[in-house]
Amino acid sequence: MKKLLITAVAVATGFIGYHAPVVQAATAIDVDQLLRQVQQGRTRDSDINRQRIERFRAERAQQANLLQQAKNDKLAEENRSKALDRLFETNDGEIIELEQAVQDRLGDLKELFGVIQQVAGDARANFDISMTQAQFPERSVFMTELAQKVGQTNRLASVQDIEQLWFEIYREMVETGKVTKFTTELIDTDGSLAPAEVTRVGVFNAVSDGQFLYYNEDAKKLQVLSRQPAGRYLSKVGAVETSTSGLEPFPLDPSRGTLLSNLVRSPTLAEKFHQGKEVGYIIVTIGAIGVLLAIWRLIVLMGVSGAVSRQAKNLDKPGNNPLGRVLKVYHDNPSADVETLELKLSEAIIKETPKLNKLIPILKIIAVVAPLMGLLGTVTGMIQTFQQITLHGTGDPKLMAGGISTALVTTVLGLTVAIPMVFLHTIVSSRAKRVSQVLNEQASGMVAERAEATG
Amino acid sequence: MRTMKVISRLLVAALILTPTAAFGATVAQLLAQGESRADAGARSQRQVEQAADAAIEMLNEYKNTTKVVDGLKVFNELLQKQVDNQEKEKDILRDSLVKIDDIERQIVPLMVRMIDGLEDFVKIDMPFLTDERAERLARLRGVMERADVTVAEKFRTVMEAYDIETEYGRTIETYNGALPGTDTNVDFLRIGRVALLYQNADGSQTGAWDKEAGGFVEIPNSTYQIAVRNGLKIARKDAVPDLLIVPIGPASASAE
Repeated sequence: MKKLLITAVAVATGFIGYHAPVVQAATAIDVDQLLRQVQQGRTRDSDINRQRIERFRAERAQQANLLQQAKNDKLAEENRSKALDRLFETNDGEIIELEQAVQDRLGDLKELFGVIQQVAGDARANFDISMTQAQFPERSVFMTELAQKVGQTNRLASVQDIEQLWFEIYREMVETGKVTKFTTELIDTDGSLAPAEVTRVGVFNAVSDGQFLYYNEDAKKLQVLSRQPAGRYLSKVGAVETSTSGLEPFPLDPSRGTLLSNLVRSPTLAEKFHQGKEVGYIIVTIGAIGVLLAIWRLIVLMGVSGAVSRQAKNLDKPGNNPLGRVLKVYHDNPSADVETLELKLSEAIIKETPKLNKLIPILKIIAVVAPLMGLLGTVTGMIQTFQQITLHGTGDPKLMAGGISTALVTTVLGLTVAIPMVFLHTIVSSRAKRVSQVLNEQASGMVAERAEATG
Repeated sequence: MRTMKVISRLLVAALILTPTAAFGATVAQLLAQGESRADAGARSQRQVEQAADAAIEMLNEYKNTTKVVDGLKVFNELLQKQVDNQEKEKDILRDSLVKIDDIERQIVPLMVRMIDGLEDFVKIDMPFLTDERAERLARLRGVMERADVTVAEKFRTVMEAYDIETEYGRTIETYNGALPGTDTNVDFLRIGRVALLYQNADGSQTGAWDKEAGGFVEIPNSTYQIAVRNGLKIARKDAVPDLLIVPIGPASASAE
């Protein structure tokens, strides 16, 4: 019977989207066919209807009875209709009278309900974004119901409702001043749910297990921040969680979580580096090459200067090092006069100098070129930004600021490469100079010795 | 038609079978019999057709009646729902009349309780802006005694006071005043309701309200001096908000 009713409703109202299977249970029928039938103004007999007619056909003897019964049903339903209609009319009248009575009695209270509605609405809006919501989720149901109830003209809040509203506001007020521990379901950084003990500091922050949380308004749960603030802040969180007396330093976000949420949205160091794009990559590559060259030259020169200083203590046995090779020239020309020796020694030293200074100018070039490239990247980035502004206008300052800060990344990269390169260049070239100085010193000594000997 | 066939067959059979002598009489008889039979057939045929027509008519009538009944049932069902809703509505309205009586009698005592509650709360709260808050409560009491203010307006004023008090828990602010119990003039920094700090103008002395001790205590400058100074700047909107290191008391287990 009920199914028949549904069928009739579905057909009568032309509501055929989802209930098509109800209309036709025996054979599947697609929506287009059904639509066509409805368009033609033909509705299919439901299975039950068809069965009924089959039964009617089969029971010839009963036909008259069945027909009579159907007619009786019709009469009964018609009577019921009339009765209901009368009831409806009288109720309508009564309701109008009652409404009038309520309105008359309300008088001044109408204004009061207006105030209650506003207070409930404001309170609910504040609760929804409050850290305490995770602790008292059940209150939002009450607040919503109350706001709806008072919003309807014919429904009033009871004294109990007003008291409950007062209680909720009072509780929120008390909770804002509390540092409290409670256990709640926590959304972890990977999205999994797990109960955890949370320490809430007023309505400013909540921490759990040494990590900062934020209140996820959509999920209506506290969630671990996917990026935590700097270590110097994080290290203090544990102490507050375990503290039992006295005052503990706590890194508090005075903006009630906004700062921490922005932290998640700000780019990481790696993201910032990638903002430099091709120019940035080139600068960093050049920088890396420069550092490797400098280290290699430094190792070589340290070896050389060690060998030279050892040679300086042992001048009779010339070895295979710059000073050794100069000494060899001295020892090979024992009979040469002073001027000849001087020329020969100068030649030997001039041969050694380029080997010592090998690649050092490249370090200097890198130190100079890196910031220039950074500047190039910045300028091209700025040009792009201004073109964006030309296209989109300056309606959104975020767009402009973002573009400019991205453009400046290359300058930063250039400088971070250049500054250490200047230091490295100075260190390496001073090493090389020191070795050349030793060579010159020793050579002058040899010439002086020869001059004395030939006197 | 079958009757015609029968007649013609009979005729043919008669013509073939009959001997010549009795031919005329027999044929006449046969024809008469055949005709009467044919008539009977036609009559019964008519009856059958009438019966069938009556059955079809009845079936159609039955179909139509059941269709009408189904439609009526749907209509009545909806009507019944409407009437049920009306009954509910009537109950709500009668209930409202009771509620109105209730509220008229109880709203004023409730508001008095609300003010008492707020007063108690301010007493045990951190001692910030003590004068301002005491004045607000006194004003509330004054409004409650006035006859020319409507109930709604009184309720709004009470709720406004609550709103301001709740707002204290969400904001940070700074104000200048004397440190309670001394003549030292300091800048107070209120971080919601979780911390109340002070610092004198040259930053040599920094302190905080300690709930456990029930008074202001000095806190080490090494940890808090810069933080409180920054906090004061942020509260005055002279600096961009940043994480602040503030002294926090121990956590209490939540009373649920």
